Amino acid sequence: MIDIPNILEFLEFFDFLRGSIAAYIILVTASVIFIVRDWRWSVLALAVQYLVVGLLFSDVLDPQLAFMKVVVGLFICLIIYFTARQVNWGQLPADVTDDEAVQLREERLLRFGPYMLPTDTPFRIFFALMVILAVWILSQRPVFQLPIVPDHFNLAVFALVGLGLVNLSFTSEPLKAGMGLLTFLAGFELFYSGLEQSVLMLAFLAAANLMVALVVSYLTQARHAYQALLD
Amino acid sequence: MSSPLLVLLAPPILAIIVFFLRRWPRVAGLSSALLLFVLALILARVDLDLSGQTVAGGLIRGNTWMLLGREIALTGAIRTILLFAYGVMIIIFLLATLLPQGYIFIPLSLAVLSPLAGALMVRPLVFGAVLLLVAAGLLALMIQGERAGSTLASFRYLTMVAIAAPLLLIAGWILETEQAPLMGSVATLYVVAFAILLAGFPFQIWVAPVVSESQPLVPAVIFGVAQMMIIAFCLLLLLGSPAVQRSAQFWQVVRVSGTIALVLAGLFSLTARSLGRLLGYLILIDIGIVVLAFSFLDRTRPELILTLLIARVVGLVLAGMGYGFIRYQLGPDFSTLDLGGSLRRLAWIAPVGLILFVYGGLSLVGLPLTVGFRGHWMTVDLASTQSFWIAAIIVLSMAAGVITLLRLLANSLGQDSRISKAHKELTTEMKWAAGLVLGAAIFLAVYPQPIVDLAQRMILLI
Repeated sequence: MIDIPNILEFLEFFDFLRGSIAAYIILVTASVIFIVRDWRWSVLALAVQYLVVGLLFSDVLDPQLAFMKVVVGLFICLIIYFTARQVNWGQLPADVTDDEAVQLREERLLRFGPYMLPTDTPFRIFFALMVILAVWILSQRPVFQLPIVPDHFNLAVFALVGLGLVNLSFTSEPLKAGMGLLTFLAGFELFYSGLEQSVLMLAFLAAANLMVALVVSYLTQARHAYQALLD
Repeated sequence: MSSPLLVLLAPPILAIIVFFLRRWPRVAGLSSALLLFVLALILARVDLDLSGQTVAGGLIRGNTWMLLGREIALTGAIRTILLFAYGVMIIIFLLATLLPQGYIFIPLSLAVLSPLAGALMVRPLVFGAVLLLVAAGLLALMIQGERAGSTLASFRYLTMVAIAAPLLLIAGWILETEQAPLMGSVATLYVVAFAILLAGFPFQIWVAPVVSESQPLVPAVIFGVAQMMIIAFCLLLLLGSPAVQRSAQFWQVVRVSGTIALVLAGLFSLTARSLGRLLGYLILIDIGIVVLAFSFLDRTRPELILTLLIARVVGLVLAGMGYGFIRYQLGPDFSTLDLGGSLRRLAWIAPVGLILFVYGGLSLVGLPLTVGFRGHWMTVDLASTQSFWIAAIIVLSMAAGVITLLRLLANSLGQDSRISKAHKELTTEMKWAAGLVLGAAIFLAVYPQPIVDLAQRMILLI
C-alpha cells in the first residue's frame, strides 16, 4: 500500500523553501503572472504561488488550516485553468479569422534577437522591476514593518499586494486582471491570517476567494464568447 | 431553526428553486415574489425580545446562531432593514414578470440577500466586510447578465469591493485589539473604504458603466437594496467606533469626496449621450448627496440618509422601468438612440417609458413634487448651515440634472427622426403597472410621511 505522507511530513519535506526563500519565490511568481502574456504560464505561476503562500501560512496558522488555504487556492487554479482552456487561452478560435474578430486581434509583436515578444512586454518588465524595487525598499524599512507577522512576511505581502494591484490596473482582460485580484487578496490574507485566526473568518475568506474565481471565470467566458468576438 | 439561519439559508434555497423556472420569466417572477413574501411574513412574526421563543408554527427558535465559534444575531433594526429589502425585491420581481431581465437576474437577486444579511448579522461586525465581497461577486454576475462582450462594469464593481473589504478588516482588527500606535490610521482606512463602498470620489468610476451595461432593473437592486444594506453596515461600524466618530479629518474627507463626486456628476450629466449613461449620472448625483449627508452625521441624525436611500429606491424603480419600456418598444433601434438627434420622436413613440424615466430621474435629483425632494432639500438646508459653497454645489448639480432631463424631454417632442415608430407596443399589463408605480410615487411625493416614519423606525432600532 502506498504510504501517503501527512501534512506535517509535507511541511518537513518543503522546509528548505520556508522563510525568506518563500518570499523570493512569491516575488518571482507574482512577476510572472504580471509580465507573461501566455495564460498557461500565468496559471502555473498562480498555482506555485498558492503552494508557496501555503507554506508561509503554516508559520502563523495551524498546519491543517494552512493546508485548507492551499486546497482552496488550487481549486481556484483549476477553475481558471478550465476557463482558460475553454476560451482557447485567450487566442482567436481556429474558425474565426482576424477580419471577423472585432474585439480580439492578434497582438503586435516585436523582435528581440531570435525571440518575438508582445509590444507591451518591455513596459510590463519595466513596471514589474519598479514595483519590485519599491516593495524591496518598503519591506526593509522598520517604519513599514507589518505588525504581529514574522519579518519575512513583509516582502511576500508587499509583493503580492503591489504586483496584484499593478496587474489589475494594466489590463481589462478579466482572466489576467482576475489573477491580479486573486494575487492581491492572497497578499492581504497572508497578512490578516497573522492578526485574526478565527475559523469563521477563514471560511468566509475561502468563500470570497472562490466567489471571485467564479466571477472571473464567468466574465472571461462572456468576454470571449463567439457573439462578443464577432459583434 | 434559529431566525438568523432562516435569513441566511432561505434566500439561496429559493434562488435554486427559481433557477429551475428561469425559462418561464412570468412564473419565475411571480413565484419568487410569492416565496419572498412568505419569508417576509415569517420574519415579521419572529419575536425578537424573547430569545428561544418558538414562533412561526414551532419552526423558528431563538435569534442568535453560533457558527464556528462566532455569533450571528438578528436584531430589530436588521429585521426592519431586511423587511424593507424584501419588500422592494418583491416589487422588482413583479416588474420582472413584465420586463424580463434575463435568466439569472431573479435567482441572483434572491441569493445576494443572504450574504448582505449575513454582513449585518455577524459578530464582530467587521467580519461582514468579507460577506460584502461575496455579495459583490453575485452582483457582478447580475451586472453582466447573459450579455457577451464588455466586462468593464462588473469587473470594476468587484474590484472596488475587493479593495474596500481588506481595509475594513484591518481597521476592525486595530480597533478590536486597541493597537495604540495604529489608532491614528483607523480613520484613514475607514474613509477610503467608505468612499469606495459609497461610490464617492475618486471611486465613482463604476457607477455609470454599471447602469449603461446592465439590464434596466439591475440598478434598482445594486444602488437601491444592496446600497441600503451596505450603508447600514457602514453606519453600524461607525456606531462601534467612537474614535472615528471623533475624527474631524474623517468627516472632512468624506465631505470633500461627496462634493467632488457631485461636481463631476453634474458636469457629466450635461454631456451624456445615451439614456443609460444619463441615468448613471443622475444616480451619481444622488450618490454624491448621500455621501454628503453621510459626512454631516457628526451634526445630524442618520435618518436623513435612510430617507434619501428609500427615495432613491423609488426613483430607481421608476427610471429603471421607464428605461426598460423604452428599450422594449424601440427594440433593435434602442442601441442607435442618442440624446442628440435620433430620439427626436421618442415622446410620441414611447410616451409611457419616457414619462417614467423623466419622473424617476427628477426624483433622483430631488425636484419638488417628487419623492426625492424632501431628503435632497434637507441635505441642502443642512449643508447651508455648514458651508455656502457645498450647498451651492448641491443645488447646481441638481440643476444640471434637471436641465439635462428637460432638454431630453424637449428634444423628444420633435418630429424629425429616422426612428419613426415603435417595434412593439406596451401591453395593457405594462400600462397598468406603469400607472400603479407612478401613482404610488406621486402619492409618496405629496405625502412623504411613510418614508420618514420608516427611516425613523430603522434609526430608532439601530
